[in-house]
Amino acid sequence: METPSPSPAGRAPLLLEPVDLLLLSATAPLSDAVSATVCARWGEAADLWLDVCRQDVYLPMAARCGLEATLQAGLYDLAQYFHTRLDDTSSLPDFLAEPWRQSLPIRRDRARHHAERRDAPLRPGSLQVTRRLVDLRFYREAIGDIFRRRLIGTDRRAAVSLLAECYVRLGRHEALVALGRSHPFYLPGAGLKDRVLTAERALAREAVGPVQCALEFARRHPAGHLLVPFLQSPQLVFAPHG
Amino acid sequence: MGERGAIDGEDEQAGPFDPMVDGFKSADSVEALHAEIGTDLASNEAMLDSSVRLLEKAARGGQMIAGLRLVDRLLERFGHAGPLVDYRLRFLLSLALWDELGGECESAMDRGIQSIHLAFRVIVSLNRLKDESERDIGPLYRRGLSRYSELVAASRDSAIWWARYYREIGNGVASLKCYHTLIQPYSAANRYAAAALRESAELALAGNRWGRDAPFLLQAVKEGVAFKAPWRAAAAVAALAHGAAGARLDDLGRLPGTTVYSHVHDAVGSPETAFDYLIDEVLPGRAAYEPRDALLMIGRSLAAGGMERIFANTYRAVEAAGAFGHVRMALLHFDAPGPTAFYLPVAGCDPSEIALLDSAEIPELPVAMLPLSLARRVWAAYRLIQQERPRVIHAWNDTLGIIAAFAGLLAGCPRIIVHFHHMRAITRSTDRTLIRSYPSCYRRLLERPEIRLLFVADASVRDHADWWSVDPSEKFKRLYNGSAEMRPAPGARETLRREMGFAPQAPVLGTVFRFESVKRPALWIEAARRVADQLPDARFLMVGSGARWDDSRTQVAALGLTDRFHFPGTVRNVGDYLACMDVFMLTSQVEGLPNSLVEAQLAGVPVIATDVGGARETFVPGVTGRLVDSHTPERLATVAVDCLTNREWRERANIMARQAAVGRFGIDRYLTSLLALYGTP
Repeated sequence: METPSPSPAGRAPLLLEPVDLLLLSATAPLSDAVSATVCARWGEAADLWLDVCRQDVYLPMAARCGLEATLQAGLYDLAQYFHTRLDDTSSLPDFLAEPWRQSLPIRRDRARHHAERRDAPLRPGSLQVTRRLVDLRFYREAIGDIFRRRLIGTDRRAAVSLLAECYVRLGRHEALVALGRSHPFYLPGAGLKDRVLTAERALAREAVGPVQCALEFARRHPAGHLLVPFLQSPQLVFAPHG
Repeated sequence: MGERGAIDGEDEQAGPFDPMVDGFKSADSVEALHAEIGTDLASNEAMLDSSVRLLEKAARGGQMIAGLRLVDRLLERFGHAGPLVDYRLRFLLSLALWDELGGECESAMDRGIQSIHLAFRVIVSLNRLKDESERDIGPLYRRGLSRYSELVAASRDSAIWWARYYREIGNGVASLKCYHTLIQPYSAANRYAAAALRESAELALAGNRWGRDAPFLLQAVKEGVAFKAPWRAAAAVAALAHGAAGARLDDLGRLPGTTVYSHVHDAVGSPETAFDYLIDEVLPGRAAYEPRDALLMIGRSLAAGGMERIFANTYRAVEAAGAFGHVRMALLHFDAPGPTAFYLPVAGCDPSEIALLDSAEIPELPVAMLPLSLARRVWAAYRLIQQERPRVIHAWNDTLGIIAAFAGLLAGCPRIIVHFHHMRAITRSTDRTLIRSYPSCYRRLLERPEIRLLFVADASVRDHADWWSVDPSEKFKRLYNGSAEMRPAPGARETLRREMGFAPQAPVLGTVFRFESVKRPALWIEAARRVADQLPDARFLMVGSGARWDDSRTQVAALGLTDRFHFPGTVRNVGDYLACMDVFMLTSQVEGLPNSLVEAQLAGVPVIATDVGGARETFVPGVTGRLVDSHTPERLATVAVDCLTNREWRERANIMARQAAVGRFGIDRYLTSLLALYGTP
């Protein structure tokens, strides 16, 4: 069992010792979602916060964190869902306002892209199409495009760079580290080295376990105060597999 | 019991209901098995083990009633020995006998649970009871979970038990995480890993995110796991292969030289991949069928509701127009007589002619790729369309649109109209995993010439285009609903007012809606309270029913206003009740095109509405009604008092409202436009 760090001034003390191993609200994978957000696994966090949303008691936190994750991962369709679940959509918190503002022109570009896509099929072998997908923040689609069209054999350096960018934005840390190891030759040129180091740090952070992740979330994340009441509940539990 | 089959998971495999298996198999003969059980029991009365085998047979065969009868006989004879309580819980759970189930769990706990199987069954049962029973089982559940946790902690295969626990309570992500620890790395010689792989693959298969769960599915296929629903496994493999463009899955599934999945499969999910597969691989080169002169209208039900009323009216009007040789209706839910047949008299069709969209058949590709909740309905629709070969399919609202479009394209229908009656559904859908997929599915549908999208309001067009990040192209059409004029029975105003105890000259503020949160009945009542304070003669009429109906009556009683409100419930003579009102008020949070506002004006009643969705498109602000920006009871009350006390404005609005509504929402204009969209000469 982990020992909690001293509570920061001005915050209610966190009840974490002992942590009950029984997760009464286990239908909502809260601790996994919190960990995913803390470790910037944005694609995974988006899915997990969607699950957490099923329980109204977590909705204010899940809507904010789900919106953050979807905006970071370019999952704008799903971002719309989280946006409508906010208690006040007229003024977004600072950590959401900027990415939301940035998403608006990209969504307009996406509308043009969808219209063009109907008329102009993909040109085999071209990385321009993939670059366009990345610019539109269709990261999952871009990864699929690179592998399906075997672009990594056409222009390996560019393909690795694009893959790295997608993995960073989606928070696929293992994939990024594996990419760095399988393509060490491209590390400096593609600016991959720093990204791989960042991913390794994210993986190390995740290794501390869900309780420490939750503590960090409660202290540092802009929506962290919304988790505190649940940490104080004697019924709160973290998943035993953590 | 605790040691029997501790890791093979066979008990858990035969859970209370498996939609992949139970949903598609034909019913077994309960009586035949019971006869067999009775015979065996007579000849092996003293043999508990033999009886347990029969219980297992009953559980696996879905013979829950027979099994419960047998286990009760065995309990009488052997007491609470061995696995009998466990089996009894399984049968009670399957039969949804909640009260008896709760008592049995409590009794098992009091006796002290020593078996991990029994503890598992107890918490699974209690978890279901949380949702299904009115009993407060919180303390009992915590007790059971605590005991289960102790037993699992002492077990050497704790990961699989936690995986099963999470699976049973519906947390698939956590469950797969636990299973993953058992199969990474995988060794077929390890029976824990083999059980974990089988169970995790089944779990992944039942979900909709096959790309995310590809490691489980691909490993299971490679190991030759015998799936309970092989058709579903084949669909998952086809979807993953489609995601990898037919290349070797293993090559594309992993990054070169690593064991890390590349994320290439992450975009593979249902129903998006099913639509991709349909449009990219199935439809090219396929010709439309030779259509019959028929229209197929696909709706949710004929229950009481605004959209359902328009659906029923449209069916009747189109059939009466004689534009098609045959007009067929298909519904998701219909049972006459009953709540889902409320508007059957309005539609005027023969109930035996209504097709129900459900099928016990095993769906084939590509329908098998769809989520289980959709697959059997799409398959039923596909079969119906094959049989009817309609020239036009007209589907009502987003989920029905998905079903009709998939089935219609697959069958070869030349024209499919999806008619949206709300704003984006994402705040209301019961299935959020599908809502996540709708934008990409509809974007793919927009590529097809057969598809037309129809919206009830300009606001709905803009809203859906924004949600899907598409330009409202020529495929987005707006068609205002059409309603017949509301003609109250002669003297209805006076008669009903007298029956409700309203004075003939009393100002009456009214509404008609489903009592649901989205309509905000509490806000309506709070506004009415303020009106009541200012206008001592005012009376309030709230027509409709729904989940918030009791709460609303309680709220009115708590305000001491019971004698000034009337709640007639759901009525058929809506026009008569509208005739009793002087002003109609709607306080919705979200609306597409509120039919109630249209119908109030057709009855000559001026309206007040919150400025949401297409509400502002239903009237002429300031002339036939008032739009309220600020959704507060104070502002609503101010506007309502203004309208109720301004007799001159009301009389003018009464005339203008009727004229404007007939011009914009008349049934003739609606029908003419609709037939043109159908391509009817």
